[in-house]
Amino acid sequence: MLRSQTPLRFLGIAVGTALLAGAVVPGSGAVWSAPAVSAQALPPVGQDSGDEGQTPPDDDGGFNSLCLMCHGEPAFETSLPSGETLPLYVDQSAFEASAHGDLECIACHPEQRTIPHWPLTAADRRAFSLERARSCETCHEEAAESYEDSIHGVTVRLGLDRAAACADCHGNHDVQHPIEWSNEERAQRCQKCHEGADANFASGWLGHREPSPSWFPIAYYAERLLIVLTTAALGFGIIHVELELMRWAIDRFWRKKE
Amino acid sequence: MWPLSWLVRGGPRRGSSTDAATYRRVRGKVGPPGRRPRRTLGRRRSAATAVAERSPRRPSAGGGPASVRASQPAPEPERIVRFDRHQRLQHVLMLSAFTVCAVSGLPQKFPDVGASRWWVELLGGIENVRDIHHWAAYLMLADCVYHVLYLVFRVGVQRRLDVLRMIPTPKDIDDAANMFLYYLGARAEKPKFDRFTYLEKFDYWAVFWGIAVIGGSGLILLFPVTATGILPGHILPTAHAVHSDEAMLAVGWIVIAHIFYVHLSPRVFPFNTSIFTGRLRGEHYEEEHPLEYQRLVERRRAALQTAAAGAKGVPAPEGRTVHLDTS
Repeated sequence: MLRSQTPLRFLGIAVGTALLAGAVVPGSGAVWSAPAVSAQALPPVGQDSGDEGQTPPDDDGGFNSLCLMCHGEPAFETSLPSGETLPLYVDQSAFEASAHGDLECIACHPEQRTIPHWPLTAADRRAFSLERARSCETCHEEAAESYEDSIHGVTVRLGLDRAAACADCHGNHDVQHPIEWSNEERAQRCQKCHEGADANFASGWLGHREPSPSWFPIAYYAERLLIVLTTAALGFGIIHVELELMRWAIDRFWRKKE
Repeated sequence: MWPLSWLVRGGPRRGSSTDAATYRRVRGKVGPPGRRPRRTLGRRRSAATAVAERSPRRPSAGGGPASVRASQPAPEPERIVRFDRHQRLQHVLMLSAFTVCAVSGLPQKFPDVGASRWWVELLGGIENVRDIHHWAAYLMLADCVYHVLYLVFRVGVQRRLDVLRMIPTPKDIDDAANMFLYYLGARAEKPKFDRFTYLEKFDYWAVFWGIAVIGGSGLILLFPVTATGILPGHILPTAHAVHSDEAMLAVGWIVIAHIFYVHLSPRVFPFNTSIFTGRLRGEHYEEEHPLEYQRLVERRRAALQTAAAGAKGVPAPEGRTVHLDTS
């Protein structure tokens, strides 16, 4: 045995620190969950968010009035196989005041551009709502991607229908630009499922963006720290196991045991 | 299972129950092999049970092999109790809760993998999987509370301080460095470990810290409205990221390192049962934790001398099982 353990101790500390530091380099590139998205400022009201999706057609010729001949009637509704009634009324003034107010109906409902309409495929109202959420992806690709990796998105994908989809928070025909929302207004939407949610609860919402040093920095750095620790710990474990096996193999097959 | 371990090891391990000399000694066979008269009238107990029932604190009650051995010098402890009942129960609870949490949590972290969907359907849907995950989490938290109370009681009330040997010391850094040098062939021998090796301490404290992080973030995710009543809102995405990433660390460590060292390593293959039975063979103990073993042997010798020099007529304590209480 060594007379003095001190140099060995420092070597051990140095190696351990190097292992941790070495984990930072690969760790800072790897992300477990959603792909890294550069933080963008939210676009001002009235403009497209800059997604790659198609620009929806504007309603310049009064096409919507054709739809509103039926869908403008307050009593217009249908029933679904589950027995629920699905209201088909669209409030024109509310729609025109919304963020989508100058879009055509068929921008989001392209499959309904002919009459007779395609038959409904949803079994109940919830399934209908989730089906409709697919149409938001056409223009809001980044938000949809981010949603897919969020708690709500994952839960819906795994089959829990009651988790929030696009319209549950944003509404359908009365969508407001989210930048105009205060945390109190957001909390109103959260309370549909999370009883007692307050503005503080709503302030935890990532807003369809990934954490970054400027956006929820605590979440960002916590995740980075975890990745560094995981890399260091598992790296240490793997090296240790490999060395043990190597030593055993050498002793067993190349050296006689004393 | 044991033929496979012979293949791995190159024969029965010296001191294992299938090693001929040990077998004969454990079974109390003295003298040349041959027919011996029954020494116990009535129910003959197995060596293991007989061993477990006698302890150095009580004089040997039954007849049988003990009376034979009373005339021989007390042998070194054959099986040493390393984990008491509480520790064993805590480990079993943690093992079950951890496994169930892992298998119910992984499909939630990787929902797009085909196996995840299949597994969720097999368990009856995502609602069921979430419930299973939550119940296993409550079990894990209960086990943690049990463990902390147990430690407080053992150290604070019973004053049995041996569990404090789990606290890391600078010697562990030396041991780790020397172990790596031994692996690489620069040292002829492994370092001499005390009751808990540096790897066992790392195993314990990583789980301790990991469960604290996972449990805390998990509770935040379970009760987000209550949590944001006390903490700022950004704790929610933080808890979400931390919970799943720490879970990956824990599962990775357990599968890679822990399972290897207690199960698959050639030195313990097929199984290190000591965490379940609580006992470890003396030779194995001497090999793995020599410093603690020396301390134990000296205490036994001191106890034997005290008993021999003390009251006459009280038979010397000579169990094969020694409760490892070196505090």
